Order: sequence, then C-alpha cells, then structure tokens
Amino acid sequence: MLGIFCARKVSSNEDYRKYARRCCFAYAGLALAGMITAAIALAAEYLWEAAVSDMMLGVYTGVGTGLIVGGLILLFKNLYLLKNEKKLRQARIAGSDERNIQISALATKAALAVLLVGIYFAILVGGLWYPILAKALMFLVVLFMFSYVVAYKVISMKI
Amino acid sequence: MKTRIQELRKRRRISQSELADALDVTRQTIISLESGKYKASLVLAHKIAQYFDAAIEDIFIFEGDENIC
Repeated sequence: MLGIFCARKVSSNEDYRKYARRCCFAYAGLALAGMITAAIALAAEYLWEAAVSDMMLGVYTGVGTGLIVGGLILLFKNLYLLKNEKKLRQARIAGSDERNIQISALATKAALAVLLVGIYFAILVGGLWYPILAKALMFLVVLFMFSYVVAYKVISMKI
Repeated sequence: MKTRIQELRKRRRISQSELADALDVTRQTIISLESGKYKASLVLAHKIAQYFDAAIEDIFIFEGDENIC
C-alpha cells in the first residue's frame, strides 16, 4: 500500500527476505516509539507532575498505543512472511508490481493535495482563534516544500 | 495504445494468473494491460515480448499521437 517508510523494489525472493528482515527492525522501532510516547505521557502526568491536560494525555497515550499495536501487527505479519515461501513471493510481487507502485504514487499525490487544502482551511479558520496553530501548520507546510525541493534535487542527480 | 496480450495469451492457452506469475506481476496488472487501462513500463514490455517471443511493437500497438510519424 503506502510504503513510504519501507518501500523497495526487489527482484528475487532472497532479496525480499533480506528486505523483510530489515523491515522487522523498523516495525520493532515503531512499536518502541509507541512505548516511549505512552511512557513520556504517563511519566509527565504521574512522575514529573507536568500540567498535561486530560485531552493531551489521551492523545499521547492513544498515539502511543496505536504505534505499539501497528508496529507489532506489522512485525508479526513480516515474521509470518519470512516463514512462508508462497506468501513471501506474493508479498514481493504485490510490493514491487509497477502498477501497484504507480497507484500508490497517484494515491499519495491525491491525499497530499487533500492534506494541503485541509491545512489551508485549518490555518484560515483556526488561526483566528489560535495563532499558534496557524504558525505550527505554516511551519509544516514550509518543511514539506523545503523537503520536496531537496528530495527533488537529490533524486534528479541520481536518475 | 492497444495490446495483443490477450490474443497471444489465449493462443498459448494460459491463464492471466499463469502469465502474471511468469512476469512477476499481479493478475490485476495483466487485466489492466489487456484492457488497455494501464501502459506497461519499458522493462515490463520487454519481459512480455520475451515471454511471447515477439517484438515489443508486435504486442503493443501505438496509435495516433503516440507515434512520431
């Protein structure tokens, strides 16, 4: 599907096996990031006595739990793939199929357009009441534009 | 662009799944190629031509503006 953090075109099952092993570490890292997020939220509330609102505590623990669950599901799915040659081949083909890659790129582009329009309206409306929100969102848009220009230059030098 | 993939595949009496397996693509990609919804990359076009033992231009028929002359 999206494959932003873990996408690679491989041509053999053996290469895909190596790639899947590397992905296992990435997914374990994702689960670990979730644990850290949830732990920081809980530590802020109960150990450091920081003034964290109930809503933000819920957000942090929710994001943390989501990352833990997502990371573990992907990790176990990958471990299962490594043990099953047929499923491994199917996953390799699904991941490296050029039509799937094109669909994913177009879907990402469409989702990005929706995200930018959403951010624009959030800045327009939300900024009236919460100026910090407008600043934070504008920073993200600038970060995206900057990253795009840098990535474009770097990739254009490679291909 | 039209393709003769379906015609050649049926002549060889192979299924879309078998062709997809041989080319290392999904069956959906074969369906899209046969219906003309998706244009194959040069690499995939080359693989298909090799599989059917034919030239690329014999399988993929370019029309109108797709040709330079």
